[in-house]
Amino acid sequence: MSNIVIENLYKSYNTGTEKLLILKNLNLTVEPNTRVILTGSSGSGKSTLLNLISGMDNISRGKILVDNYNVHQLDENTLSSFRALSIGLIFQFHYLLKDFTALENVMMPAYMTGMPKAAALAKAEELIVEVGLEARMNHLPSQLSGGEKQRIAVVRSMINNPGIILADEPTGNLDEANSIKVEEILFELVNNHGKTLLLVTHDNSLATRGDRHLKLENGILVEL
Amino acid sequence: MISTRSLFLATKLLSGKKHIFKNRNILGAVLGIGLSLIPLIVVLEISSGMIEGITERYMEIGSYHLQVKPFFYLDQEHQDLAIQNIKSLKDVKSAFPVVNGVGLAYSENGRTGISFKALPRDYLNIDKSAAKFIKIESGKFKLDTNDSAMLSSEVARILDVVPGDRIKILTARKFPGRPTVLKPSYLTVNGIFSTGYYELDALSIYINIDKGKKLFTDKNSLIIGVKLFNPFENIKEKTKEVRNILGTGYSVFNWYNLEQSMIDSFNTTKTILLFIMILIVIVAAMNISSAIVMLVMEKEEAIAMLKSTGVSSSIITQAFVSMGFIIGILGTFTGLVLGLLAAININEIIHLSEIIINRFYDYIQILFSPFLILKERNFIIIDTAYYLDKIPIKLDLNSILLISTLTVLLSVFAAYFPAKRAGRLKPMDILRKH
Repeated sequence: MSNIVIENLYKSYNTGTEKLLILKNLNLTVEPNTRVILTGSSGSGKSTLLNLISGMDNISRGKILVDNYNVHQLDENTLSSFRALSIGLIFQFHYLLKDFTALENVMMPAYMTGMPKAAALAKAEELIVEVGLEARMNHLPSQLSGGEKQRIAVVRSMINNPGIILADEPTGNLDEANSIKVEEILFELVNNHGKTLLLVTHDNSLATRGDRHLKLENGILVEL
Repeated sequence: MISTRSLFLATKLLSGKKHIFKNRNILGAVLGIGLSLIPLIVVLEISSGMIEGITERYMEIGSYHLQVKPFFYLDQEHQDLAIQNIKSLKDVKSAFPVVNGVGLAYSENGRTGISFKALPRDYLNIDKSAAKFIKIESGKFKLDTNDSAMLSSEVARILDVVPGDRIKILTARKFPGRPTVLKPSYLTVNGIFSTGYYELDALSIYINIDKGKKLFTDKNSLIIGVKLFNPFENIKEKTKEVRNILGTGYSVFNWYNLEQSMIDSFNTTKTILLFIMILIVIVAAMNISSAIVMLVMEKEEAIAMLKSTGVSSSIITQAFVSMGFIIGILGTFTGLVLGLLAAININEIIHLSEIIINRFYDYIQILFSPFLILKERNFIIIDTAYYLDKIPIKLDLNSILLISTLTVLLSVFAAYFPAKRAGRLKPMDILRKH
């Protein structure tokens, strides 16, 4: 069961002329199997928070514990294992590997982190079938629609069966019909597989689908 | 260092629609390695072939496998006994007397200094491995009478004689306590031969052994040439066996003792040439570094994505090292195929090049004839008169394997540093950029 604990978190950027404080003394605890929706205006630090939780970006001060891993104290190799096994990342842009088929894109995180190739392929196939893209399995990303690419990106985040899914505006680049489809699939998978979800979105209507709704305002987290 | 996972990742990243031979950097690196290997392979194969060709001719016709030199004047009885003893050894194929000497030869049209070799009349039957290298250009190989002579093509050319012609020779004869006397004799040219190697042919005349014994009475003139079934294996032991069976009064030399300085000189030249060629391969391998740097830049987004999904830096590094390995393999394969093709057809390539150069020269002459008068010239790249008549090729598989391995290792080494850099890339920095 995966949880997130954030204590006294600060994040600032040096723009060259001034120091920009993005997150101010942020504290948050996310219990296992909770679906948290995080909203806020552009530039409020929503994506930054997800990047800090995944260890992709460095904190300025404070502590982030995920599954009892002190994320920003991990060495390079442990951080890679942590990213591979404890969290699944979904971005606004799909970032699929363009020379790999949909199936290979999904299996790569598992295969590259130690799962035998046959097992990784079987697992990837199973997940792709679950989102109804079995007919598109051997297609390259260039042969898939925007919605299909994002569905592949969603299942890719789950291939290593992580406890936590961090989704950064996963429907931000999609039209309404595709957005709805991807949201449905994401929530269905999170529910079916018992994941903790932290979803960043501009869409306030999604807030109703979460167990908690948080808003970032001027670097401070507000529970709505 | 390279796992199957990283190799899979490398092949997938390389085999995309735009990659391998559609990517100019990779194609350049593969061709760079391939083209740099061509001269190396050609030099290796030709020099090995030339050394083997020349060494074989010297062993079979010049020094023989073993040479027995008596310390005393060897009369017929002792000669026959020594040959009988030598032939009784299981490793010995044949043994025969040879008289060596020098003199002058004259014809109506020329004169030259010559090196005599007096051989048994049935020499080509006794020594079949020597027969392989003696090409009769005209007449017949006949040493059956005391005035029989076989002239090398070079001597025949200088004296301007053909089979059936008579030549005069002058040889020196020493008598104890008296001045050296020059003895004239006449020989009939029975045939003209070539060994295929200028140095061996240049001043050679073969005469009958009995005539040789009469002309050159010095005790050092007569030797016994010995041929072994396998002259390359345990040559020292075989030399010792012959020495033991003959007892005191004889010294025995093997082909390696006699030709060592020549073989060493050939091998040193070969090593220097190969060293220079290897430097070219090293420079070409460095192209791989720049190809991988470009590839890392092209694949930044994929690297960021893979790292964000937990793929470790070492797998990324290994994948790019694997790309260097793949480029190295492809380049080596290309170089080997083209190099071997060039080496095998080197005689034809040289001949064709000579034709092209001479045609071009003629064309220039015709084009500018009223203004430019060039000397008539037949351009020759390698004058076979001074080397072997045909450039021989020897497929030296061990050296080819060594060069291939070295090239692939160099490619991997060249790829390592940009690959390491790829492994260190921060995914967030790249994703922000994109």
